Amino acid sequence: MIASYRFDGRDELCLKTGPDNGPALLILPPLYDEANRVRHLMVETARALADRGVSSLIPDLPGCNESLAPLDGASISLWKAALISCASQLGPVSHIAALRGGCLLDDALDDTPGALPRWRLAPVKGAQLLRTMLRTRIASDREAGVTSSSAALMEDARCKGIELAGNPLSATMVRELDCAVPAGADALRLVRFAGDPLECDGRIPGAPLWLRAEPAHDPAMARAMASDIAAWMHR
Amino acid sequence: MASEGYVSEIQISGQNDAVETVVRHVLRDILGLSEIQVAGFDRDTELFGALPELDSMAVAGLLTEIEDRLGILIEDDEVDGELFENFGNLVDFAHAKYQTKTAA
Repeated sequence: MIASYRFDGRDELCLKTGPDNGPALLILPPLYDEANRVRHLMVETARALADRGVSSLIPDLPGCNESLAPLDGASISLWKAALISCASQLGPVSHIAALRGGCLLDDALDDTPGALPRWRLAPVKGAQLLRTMLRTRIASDREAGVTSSSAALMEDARCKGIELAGNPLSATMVRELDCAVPAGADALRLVRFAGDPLECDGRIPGAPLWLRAEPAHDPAMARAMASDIAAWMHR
Repeated sequence: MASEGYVSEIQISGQNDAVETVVRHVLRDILGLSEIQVAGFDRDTELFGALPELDSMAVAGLLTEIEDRLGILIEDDEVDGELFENFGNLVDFAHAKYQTKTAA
């Protein structure tokens, strides 16, 4: 069902699935364009979790998805504050599952650093997300006959904000995103794809759908994510 | 806790064509191609302009992903149309960047 939470004078929507009793899993999708590409995957994962008896919350971050808040007023700290409001109104939250840029927010609810158990798939640094968005800006500037550089754009953006790939980013967001890294955690399960040779705590079949030029869905991956998360939560 | 990033993908596979494999896999992931389709890419396979999905947004993602998986840094002025003309150019570029990094 679509629930809502009150934050900063507005009602923000939150997708709520699974049994109504007991603590919930907070699901944090990727940020910006990557979020749009995996919306279907996230919702199907939440539904598959509900089938396994797990309640979950996928909140809209202020300025994103259906939110009426201006995106140029958003920042990492504002998003974390929104997650605290969401969890206190729709929770309690016992676990967090995050993908990509969502991992930059998954310490929002910690009373003490690293306290809540978290599950991560393909965590990314904020600077890396900025870098990709800056590249689209440089490419469009070039088409318009303007030569720009990441360094010059960033210098300006840190003081005045910037529009990147259609997203208006405030100066605060630029500064916070640039130095945001996934926080350390006491109880962390890091998951990778089956074909990835690197070390991890668990593997699932699937592909990085957040990279796709044409959005696609992978039902098997949603089920695999749900199974892995449910088993981890019940441990 | 497991380490993050793809930086050591090369060290683990330890093959001569590991850089090429990484580039192939990034294209596979961005274009949503199968392993078989992307294995069919050769040096002359045209990229930008020939693959409609490969727009400027996709190119931006592709560069960041190659950087991440190879542990290299691609400068703004190194990116031009020629780089994405065909698969061979992109692989040569990635090879050169990777060698500069390992030599440093």
